[in-house]
Amino acid sequence: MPIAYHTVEKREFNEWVHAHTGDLLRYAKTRVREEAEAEDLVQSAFVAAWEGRKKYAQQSSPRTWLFSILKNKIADHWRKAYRDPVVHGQEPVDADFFGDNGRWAPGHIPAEWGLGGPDQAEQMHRFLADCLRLLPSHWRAVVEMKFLKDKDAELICQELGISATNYWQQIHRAKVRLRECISTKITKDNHH
Amino acid sequence: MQTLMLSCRKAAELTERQSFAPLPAVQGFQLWMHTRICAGCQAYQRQSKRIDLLLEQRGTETALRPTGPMEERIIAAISCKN
Repeated sequence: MPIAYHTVEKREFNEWVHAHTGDLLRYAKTRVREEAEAEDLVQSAFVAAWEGRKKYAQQSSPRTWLFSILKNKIADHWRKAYRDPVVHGQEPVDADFFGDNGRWAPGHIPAEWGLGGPDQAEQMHRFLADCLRLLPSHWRAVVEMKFLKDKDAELICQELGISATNYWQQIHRAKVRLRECISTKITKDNHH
Repeated sequence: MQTLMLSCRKAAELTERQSFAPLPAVQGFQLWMHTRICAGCQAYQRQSKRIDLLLEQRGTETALRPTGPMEERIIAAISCKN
């Protein structure tokens, strides 16, 4: 069946802006460092959508279409951050977390999270956001790409220009670091 | 036997790989064996999944702050484009 193209008029497009800016912005803000960056990404996603409106096939909802454009914009943002030698900084090192024998180093062995309480989900999101902020851009890019590219490892490796082996090592290191950061926050919180 | 046993470092790496796509049979079995006997890696596996879920859910709640000025800015940016 041929794709049914539907020409989007400005008035209809403006309705989309009013209907979806809030959700797109909320999504973007949790996925980049600065609020201003999130706003720029949402705006550039709308501009790209307007300029590419002839490619909009009516079968997918405007919301789905706008989100897919925004996800591409955010992925571009992290691809640039990943390749930027200035923010590259420290290379991921896991010597802190594992001993020479490959076992968890003392003091770094994952233990169960003693979680409870009705505000748990909200609290976890706050801890995650704080820990993502502490993660160097280079590592965060590796983590963010996983969800922006819907867990397509081959595509991610292409975007970042690295081998699969390299990617597994980097995401593993970033994740070990992220997990420990969250654990530390939970432990501190439980002592309060 | 020695070659079948994974280190915790390798187990954590395979845990991440597995969250993208199923592992090849031998590696999948090695990881399963390792996590059966290693409490630290069991906790790691559970928490790693939990973090992925949180990462995926970020910013998808519906309660919103008004974004009127931002909407006007976007409409203005588009109005100068054909």
